Amino acid sequence: MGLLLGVVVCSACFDFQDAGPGDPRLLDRACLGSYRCTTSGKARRTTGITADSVGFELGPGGGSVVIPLVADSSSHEVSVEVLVAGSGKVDVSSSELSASDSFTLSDDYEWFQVGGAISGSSSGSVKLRVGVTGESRAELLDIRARGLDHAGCSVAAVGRRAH
Amino acid sequence: MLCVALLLQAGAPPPTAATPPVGWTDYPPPAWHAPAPPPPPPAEDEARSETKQRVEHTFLLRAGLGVGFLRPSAHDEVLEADGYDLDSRAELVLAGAGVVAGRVALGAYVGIGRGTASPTSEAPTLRQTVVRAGTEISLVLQPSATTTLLLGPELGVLQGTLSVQGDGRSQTVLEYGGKLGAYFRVSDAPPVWYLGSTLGYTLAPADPPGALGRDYDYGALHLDFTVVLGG
Repeated sequence: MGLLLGVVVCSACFDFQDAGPGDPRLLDRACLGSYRCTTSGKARRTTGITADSVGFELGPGGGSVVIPLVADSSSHEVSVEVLVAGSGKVDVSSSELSASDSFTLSDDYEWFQVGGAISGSSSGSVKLRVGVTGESRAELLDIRARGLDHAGCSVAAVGRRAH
Repeated sequence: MLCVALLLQAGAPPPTAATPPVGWTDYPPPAWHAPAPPPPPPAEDEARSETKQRVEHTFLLRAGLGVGFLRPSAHDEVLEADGYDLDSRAELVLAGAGVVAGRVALGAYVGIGRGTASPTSEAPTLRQTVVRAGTEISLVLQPSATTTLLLGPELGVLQGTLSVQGDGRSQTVLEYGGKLGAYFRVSDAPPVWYLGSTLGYTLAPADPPGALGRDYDYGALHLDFTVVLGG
């Protein structure tokens, strides 16, 4: 009986159909629902590849978006990629991963990757910051990750949800 | 002796078809007749018969089921970068045309189409749906009594939607292009049925489906299996 109850309770947060962090539209999963992505400065949330997907316009004039993610286990190498186009440079960083990099943008959408390590003492919550400064301008269409997932219910994130 | 024989032959009546010349022992028997003259060439009869079988239609109704191979666009490349390779859609087209002047038919068409792309079974599915409607002018050609060709331009509107969460925004754009259909007669009694195939090519340029991305195109190369009813 207890086992049956456990299955029923767990099924509410255990979806075999949930997309993985390497699947498209991780940005939608990270920014939809109760786990909000926050913008600051000259950054605004808009729609992306379709009118029902998420995208962000950053700059010009400086602005950023912070995307909440969660690690699927501790003490291992993780990486995250952003699909961006624009002009100037875009900064991608995460203090939890001790990762920071800057990339030159073009009119064509390209994937840029940053990587880092999750420390054993980390709570598992990772905030990814994508921003521009000055006259740089960026269009953020999507993200994908390895070792990280969105902060909602997922197989990869069971037991390690961010709060 | 030879002279006598020649004299006898000279005095004999001339040979006819029923009377062999004297001395010809291997001549055909009396019942033999000269071969009948050859009949007139059959081509004339067949052509006359084919002309009779040819049907002059006053209207044509068409139903097609097939595939639309999507036109490449700048936004297509963005979708591919994000992991979506949406290159075709299933299509259904209905059309009707009246023959208004000789070989020219004026008509209208409506169609629906739907295509999906999913990089993995768990990934959100990218869906494209279109509804098309417009007018068409066709040149109706009948190279033979059993074959009909339709050839002509199309002009209409297309309402297309691209979505990954099932809630995309509809875009209404101009659609233009042309088609070529070849249909083969499968029934003799009116109304006359044809089966064949229609090849079409349309353009339907659109703004980006979302706020970001690049210009899109809902046009396609259409290849349909088609049933035609001619009345």
